[in-house]
Amino acid sequence: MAKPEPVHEAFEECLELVFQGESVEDCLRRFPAQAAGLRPLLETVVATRKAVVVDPRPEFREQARQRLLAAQRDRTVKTKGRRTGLAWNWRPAWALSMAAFLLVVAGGGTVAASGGSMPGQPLYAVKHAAESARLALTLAATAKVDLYARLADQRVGEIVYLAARSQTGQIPRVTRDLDRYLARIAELSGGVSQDAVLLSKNSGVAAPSAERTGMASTVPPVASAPAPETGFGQAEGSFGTTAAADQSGGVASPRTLLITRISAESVQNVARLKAALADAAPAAESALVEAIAVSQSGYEKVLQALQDRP
Amino acid sequence: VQDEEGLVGEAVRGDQAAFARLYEAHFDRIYRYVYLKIGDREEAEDMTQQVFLSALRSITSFKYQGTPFTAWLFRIAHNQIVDHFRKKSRRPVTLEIDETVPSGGAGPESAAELSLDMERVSRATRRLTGAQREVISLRFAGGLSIEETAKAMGKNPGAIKALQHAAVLALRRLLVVSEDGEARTSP
Repeated sequence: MAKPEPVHEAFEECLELVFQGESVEDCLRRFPAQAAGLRPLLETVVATRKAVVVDPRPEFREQARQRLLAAQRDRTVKTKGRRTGLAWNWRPAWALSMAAFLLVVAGGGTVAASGGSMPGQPLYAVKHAAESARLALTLAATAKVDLYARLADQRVGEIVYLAARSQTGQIPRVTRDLDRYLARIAELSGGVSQDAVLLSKNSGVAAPSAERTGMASTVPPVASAPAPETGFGQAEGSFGTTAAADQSGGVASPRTLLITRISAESVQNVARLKAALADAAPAAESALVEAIAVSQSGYEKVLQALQDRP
Repeated sequence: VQDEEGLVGEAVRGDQAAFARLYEAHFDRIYRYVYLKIGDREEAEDMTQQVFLSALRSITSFKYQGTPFTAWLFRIAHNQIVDHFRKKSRRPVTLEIDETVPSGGAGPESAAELSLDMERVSRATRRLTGAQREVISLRFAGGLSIEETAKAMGKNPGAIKALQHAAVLALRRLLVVSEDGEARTSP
């Protein structure tokens, strides 16, 4: 006759099965001789797990992310400083330090304020650094695509702003950023969920609004600054937090929403750049022509990629 | 899906995105572990942040050498909790189980339906021995496997299974006693 399994071994086997979703009753049938002793223990574990598996508060989760981000930025600055000594580029490093400091001390208020800054302005480097960190900390494909799309939208606004002020020297660099972001959206589009999600009022899953997409609006003023950024690291499927929630309720997939939104943005942004070209000084024309070409080609590739994916 | 070892390797080489992914993967588990051991949500939130900031500072010197990343991270959390109680001079009550748990009718044979929350479980675990409390916290709040728990506690898996069994038995008695007490005081 085989020696009975030690009770702690049987308990562990049952625990693993319960953790995998098996019911206590089913587990106990596997160990009839020890069932009476195992039952109260398994019930205790089930009740304990239910009590202790609590989710952190969303605002705490966000605060913790920002604090980690600030610490990462701080480390980046220190590492770069050590690596390059006096030759390091003081300006971005200063901005990173300032972003870290402000995130910790001022709760990110000034970093958020930098969201409206433009190339050449003091806080622009802070804004750029914060965007990079947000991209690094945004992991879900849908949220990342959403973030890249918003940043592409902002870059177009910056190009228009620079062209209106004949600050043509910085347009090519912003255009390169735009090109890079659109290329990343195309690369990531395969990861955007096609699963239908219920759209309801205040659901956090937003359909593109006319205000944001410009579907039914006129081309915004040349000098209009991009809208300030909202929080980062959104959960999968919760993109578009700056847009109004769907008011009527309905069913759509994140990819469908994204296609709708990017289609509208591509039309709007190319129109904004063309309007800027019409009013631009001759010195800015070639840079704007290049930006228009990059924008048209980039958005086409994004939409193609989104529609081609199975 | 990139395995954790590869991700840890990149984080050790300074890849911030890799560290961010590790952070996302372990954030909730560390929070629950700390919350159960401290029993106070706000303090648990502060300490959870401190754990990851400490990990960020130390990650470049992390080497596997028999200690998986998960066990390393939970050790950081454990050490910070020990420091926390030391600083506050508010060590959790650690009494031997024989001194705290009555034998007899309220034993594990009782089929009382337990209705628990985090604070109540936390209070009960403070009456366990240190090792029992640790195994409950790592396994059920931290979600570690037997092997990970063994690495984190520096014991072999067989010893952890035996310890886990004794810990749940003791916890059951404490919770049932507690529930009976609450029932008696209820109107």
